[in-house]
Amino acid sequence: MKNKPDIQHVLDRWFEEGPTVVPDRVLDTALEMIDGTKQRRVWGVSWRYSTMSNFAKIAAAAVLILAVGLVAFVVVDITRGPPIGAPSDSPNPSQPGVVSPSAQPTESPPRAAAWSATGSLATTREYHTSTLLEDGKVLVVGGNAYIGLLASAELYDPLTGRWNVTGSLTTAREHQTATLLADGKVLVAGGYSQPAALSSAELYDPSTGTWSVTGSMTTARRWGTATLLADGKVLVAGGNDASVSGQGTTLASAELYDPATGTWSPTGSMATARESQTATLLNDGNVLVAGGVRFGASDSDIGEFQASAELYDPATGTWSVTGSMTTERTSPTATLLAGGDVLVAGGGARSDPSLKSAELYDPRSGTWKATGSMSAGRQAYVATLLPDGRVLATGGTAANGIDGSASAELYDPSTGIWTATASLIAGRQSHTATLLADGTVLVVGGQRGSPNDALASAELYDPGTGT
Amino acid sequence: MDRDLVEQARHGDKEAFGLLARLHGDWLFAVAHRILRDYERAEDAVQQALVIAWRELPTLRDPARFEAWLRRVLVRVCYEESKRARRWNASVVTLLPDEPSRRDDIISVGDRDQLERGFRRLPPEQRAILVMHHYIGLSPTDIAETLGIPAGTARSRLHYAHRAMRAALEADARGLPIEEAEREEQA
Repeated sequence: MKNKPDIQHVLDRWFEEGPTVVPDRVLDTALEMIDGTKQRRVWGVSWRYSTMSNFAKIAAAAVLILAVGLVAFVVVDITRGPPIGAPSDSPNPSQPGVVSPSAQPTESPPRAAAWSATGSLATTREYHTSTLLEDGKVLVVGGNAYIGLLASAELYDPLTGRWNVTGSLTTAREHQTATLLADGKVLVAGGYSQPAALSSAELYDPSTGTWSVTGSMTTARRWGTATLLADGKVLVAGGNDASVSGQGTTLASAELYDPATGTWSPTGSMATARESQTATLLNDGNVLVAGGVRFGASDSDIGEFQASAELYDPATGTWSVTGSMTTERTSPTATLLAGGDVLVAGGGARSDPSLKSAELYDPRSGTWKATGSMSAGRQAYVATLLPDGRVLATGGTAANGIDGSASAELYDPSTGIWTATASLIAGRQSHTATLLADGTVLVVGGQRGSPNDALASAELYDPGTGT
Repeated sequence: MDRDLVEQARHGDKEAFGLLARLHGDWLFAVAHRILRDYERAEDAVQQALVIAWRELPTLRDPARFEAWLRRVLVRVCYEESKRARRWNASVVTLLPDEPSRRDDIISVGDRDQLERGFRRLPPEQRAILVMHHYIGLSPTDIAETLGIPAGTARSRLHYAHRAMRAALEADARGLPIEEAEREEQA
């Protein structure tokens, strides 16, 4: 051992040492414990429904509709409140931002930024997607409920602050992409469902609350990106094919979804295969893809982290290399700022799994320059563009590398500086954040960092005023 | 056979679940012990994992994935266990004398000490990844599936864990404190 040891060999041998047989009393106790433990109920309406007679089906449906309608009426009546800052039918002077009709029109005092709890999901979720629909509701789809992939989907209604279960995907999946199409439908593509990545795609129709299978991608992929182009098509690029055997291959390929035909067709491939990259639609219609990581086929390959970036031109269907970032980054966030620049922040590098640094891409010059750094390194976090042009960074993996962080901070493009803002109620990573029509930000689910750690909770960020 | 038992257990058959627990109990305990480095806590982890598995089993869609699913449950429980301060320190826990082990001379007593200390300094996620890779023999991709994390994250954690363990052995070889060897390894 005094020669430099092969750590892999040493660990192989070291882990061979130790117990290999569980004492019977351990299992006996566990089995006694389950005697008092109920199994989780899985929604079983479909098979019961299918065994009913037609008359019973109609009667059950009528009763269900009446019951739901009654409950919805009561709930909405009790809980409906105006969006923050909006006028209210039943004024409550104690509610922030609500103005009593009898009050004289005066200038409201500044309201500090704050988080508030809102309704919780029916199911805990991590690695899901959230999409703002045209009617202002938020569609949350799939993901993982800590120990099981999810096909279910839920709708958040900002008017009531409540979630309703909507139609389920035909295939449970996590790490998928979700894109709001021009016709108001949502395209969910790829992702992972045991035991491999998916090529399948599905469409959600908000008018019916149902999903339908649409054309499959030419390549199964997850950890890729999907971008709605100006012509209404969707560009999917990169990712990992996560094949059944082996570790999967990082992909350079890209393909286009045409909503008019419901089909996919290959388009030009990137110069560099990459997964966990970012993709941003620029104001000129091109798509900027930056960072990510490229893994070879070998399991011992620890990957090439990417600083490189490329531009996709929809007019020609080709990619061109543009300036490289100053830092290699995998899973950073990218935000198109009001001025047309792109802010890329955080992510992981080989030297630092949780980066604080951020940089700006200038599409006019095709170059990157450093900007202010965040106060905390962030990976598995979300960045959201606010209506006032600032960018809100929420959560991510905490400094201990395990727990979800509750911290949040704001980037001001006019100064290039990040400043701390109110902290989330719950620390979370791998969550989603969606800007709502009223200017608040809905943060949903994610991972807390310990067992049973997928979260069902959701919270709202009010950027406040005058702060 | 597993598949049938899983199907039966999913529908509330406790006897079938009992058979599954006996079939999988040994590796559950072996893995938990290697992550937690403590007999009592490994026993607790196995019991907790089995109770959670029983409770959540109806949500398992594919019975063929039972073992991978159970592995994920166990690892998550081990994360929680490792957060508890109970009897958790950097001292070396000696293997019980009556416990069969396959020691050999490749690893010296001093190296074992350093491995133990280095391993205990790792966050539980890296400890779990080392055990899954070196003891169970999972590839980084399979580890990623087990933990529900991106393969890149699994590979990255494995890389950092190897680096830390290498530093621990280097410290032994050169008589350095582990912290100093880790700093050199990172440089």
